[in-house]
Amino acid sequence: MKAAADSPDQALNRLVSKTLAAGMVLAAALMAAGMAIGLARPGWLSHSATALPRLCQAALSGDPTALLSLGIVVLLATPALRVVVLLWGYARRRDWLFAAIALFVLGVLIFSVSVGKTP
Amino acid sequence: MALILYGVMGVCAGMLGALVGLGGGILLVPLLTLFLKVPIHQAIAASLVGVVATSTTTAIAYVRDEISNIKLGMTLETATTVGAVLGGLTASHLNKEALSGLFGLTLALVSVFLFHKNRADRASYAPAPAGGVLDGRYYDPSLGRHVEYSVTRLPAGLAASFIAGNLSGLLGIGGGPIKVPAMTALMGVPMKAAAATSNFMIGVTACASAYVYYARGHVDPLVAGPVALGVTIGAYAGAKAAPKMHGRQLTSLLIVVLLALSAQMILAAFGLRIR
Repeated sequence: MKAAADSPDQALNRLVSKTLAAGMVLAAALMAAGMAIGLARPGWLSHSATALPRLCQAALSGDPTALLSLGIVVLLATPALRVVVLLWGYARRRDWLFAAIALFVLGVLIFSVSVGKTP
Repeated sequence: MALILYGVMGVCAGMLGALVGLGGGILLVPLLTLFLKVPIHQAIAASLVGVVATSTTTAIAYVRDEISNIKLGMTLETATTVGAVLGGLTASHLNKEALSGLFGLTLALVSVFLFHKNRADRASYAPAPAGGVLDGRYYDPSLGRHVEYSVTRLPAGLAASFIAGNLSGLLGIGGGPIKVPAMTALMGVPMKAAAATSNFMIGVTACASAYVYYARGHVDPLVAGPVALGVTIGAYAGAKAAPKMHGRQLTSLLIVVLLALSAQMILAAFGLRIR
């Protein structure tokens, strides 16, 4: 690869890129499966996202709404996972400034999950 | 079948967006609310999920090829995510008229951005590397060499990022039209790196507010799922087709479309609907 072969971040960048690709492929597959089953059996669809505790079980049983919901959850977890990967990467090389920045961003994401629940 | 319709809307928004360098979120909310009568909070939530999908898909290549400045992106994300959470929380207290009006104004601003981008599609930057921790370099195949740049005016960039994040959470858009000019004009980042870094930040930014919408029950999987899938396919196809298209004419056409959508959203804010 000619793009900055001497970059110290290269291994970490590759890992971030792979994390994003894996999350995206899994999410797209789940959503596509949900859409296909939903089109075949429209009666099974429901407009409210499947509750998190029974999401995996319902998706495994082929419930199209649960498959779509699980795809969305995986998709929305992917950028958070990439922050975790960067946090780990910076911490491992003792780049504490950027580890702290990543930790702060992760904290805001966790806060946003909890703050949304209280109306 | 509604699922197909939402998916097709996603494909259209993603493709048009990618052809002119927008994420597609700016088109999704007007298309979903005006044409498919999706309630605006659900439309914003679906658009955020779609924005996360396009940003993630695009970032795979930008990050691997080291065009995104990840350290700069992470630093600015501290401001975009805080802005996005506040935007998401504010949106649930605003009624659909207020959100439609705000969206209409934002659409008008984005068309001004496209107009300027269309006229001067290059930005100047400081080539002198000053050795700062955020400085970046990337390989530009059209120049055949590495481009090095140093990042200046971080506080101004953080302020612009906060506003971009805020609008993202409030309206379900990516916020590129604010972040990209802020990075090129204020912070000295070259256009390519700015676009790739903005895209890199959008996934996490949109996530921060998407979590708020999800927890509030505004994410309708039957809308958001097909939209996310459609917009990903559309953005991918658009990015492939973009080099072969006449960018300027297309951008001019999209400016007209955005202004028309802007007028309709503002009219909708006053309870009027012309169609």
